[in-house]
Amino acid sequence: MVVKILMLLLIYGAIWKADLSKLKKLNSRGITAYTSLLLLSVYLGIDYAWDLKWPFLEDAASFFLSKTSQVIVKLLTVPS
Amino acid sequence: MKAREQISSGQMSVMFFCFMTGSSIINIPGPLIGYAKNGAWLSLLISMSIGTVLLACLLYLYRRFPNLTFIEYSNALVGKWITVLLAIPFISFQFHMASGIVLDIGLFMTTSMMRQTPLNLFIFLLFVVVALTVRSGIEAMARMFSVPIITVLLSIIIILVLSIPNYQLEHLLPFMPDGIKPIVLGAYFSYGFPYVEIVLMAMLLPFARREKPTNLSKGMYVALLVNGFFLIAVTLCTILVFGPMAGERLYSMFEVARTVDLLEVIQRIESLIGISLILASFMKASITLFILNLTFTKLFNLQDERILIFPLALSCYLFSMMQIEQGQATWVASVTALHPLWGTVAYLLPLLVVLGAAAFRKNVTQ
Repeated sequence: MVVKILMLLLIYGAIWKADLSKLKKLNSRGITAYTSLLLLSVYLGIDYAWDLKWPFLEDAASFFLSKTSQVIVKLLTVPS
Repeated sequence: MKAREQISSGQMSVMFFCFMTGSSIINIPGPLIGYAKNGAWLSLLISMSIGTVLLACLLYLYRRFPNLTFIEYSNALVGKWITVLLAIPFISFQFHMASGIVLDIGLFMTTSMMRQTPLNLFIFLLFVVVALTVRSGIEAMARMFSVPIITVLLSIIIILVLSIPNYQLEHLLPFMPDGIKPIVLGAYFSYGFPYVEIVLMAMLLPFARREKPTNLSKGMYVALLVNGFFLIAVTLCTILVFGPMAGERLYSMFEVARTVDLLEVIQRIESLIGISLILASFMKASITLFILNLTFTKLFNLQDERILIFPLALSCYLFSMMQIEQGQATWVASVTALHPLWGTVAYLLPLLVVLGAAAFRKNVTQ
């Protein structure tokens, strides 16, 4: 866990350093978009580092589509 | 105002070919043969036909709105809020794709070439390279991709030719022993990966320089045909080498390369194909991340087109790690069963909505 957190902190530091000069020139819409994406990565990062199994993209897709996709695959599968 | 980057129609076609061939050439044949058995090539022909229709739709929209991306002409045709609604699944699938492509490279490395190295190291380093490539812009990407894709194709051709002594023609039979259903299932799978992904090119086409209008169309169709030819060739050669066991080979080109042993001199050349496949997947991942960034940029109407690349790459890296933490079996099930339907909802549905609006609203121009 410590390694994961350290690695994430390092990545955030590197991103901050790379983007800082550009961030100063961004308008409010740009700042909103950038912050939203950073917040998404923080959510994913916490989930990843602490292994919390919070819901993410695959779970949402699975929730909405897995039953239909299973029906399609079953319909087209020849029983062996 | 900064002028939009532009690439030639030839470079656009090469990028399209890289995008279509990228990770599919390593990941498609195994599961596809598992589904469709010896009729896998027919499944590919069916899905490629669907891909051709999709490409025709994209080129029609491109002719109507040559300077606009998919998000921009969707805004003009169906309005801002419906575009936002359509963009949610559109973006979700791009995240799934970008993280999945890099995850597949990592899984390939850890299961076949460097088993002791931690998976996250491959994924992290690849995302660093992919993010830096995307940050360098589409012109640099287009100039850079021509050489690696030629290397990849040469490697594949060399392997397929050197494998000729291992081919057994009787492996091609029986053809369709279980009827049409397995073929349709194979077509459904290969339609989801990679052919429905063609829709993403609607975001890239406006970057093509306005030359003769037919140049781009011709180039794109040729790229699709060559992609289909290579996918079918690799699938057929895998069946010819491994026969009924072909469906159980996860990375079939790599496995085919392993069987090459010519005069006890030319052997162990699988690393050649391994590196080529990594290159191909890297190119596809770069194009996907570029389009993901462009989608966000157009949706938020940002001036700086490169500011979101690093946060997006980080999110994709974390998506990759979380996908594999659910287990490799879940990931494989997600790609084989969920992927085609997700692609349909995320890419085909928005395309049909926008296409319908374009057909009815002839007066809307850019």
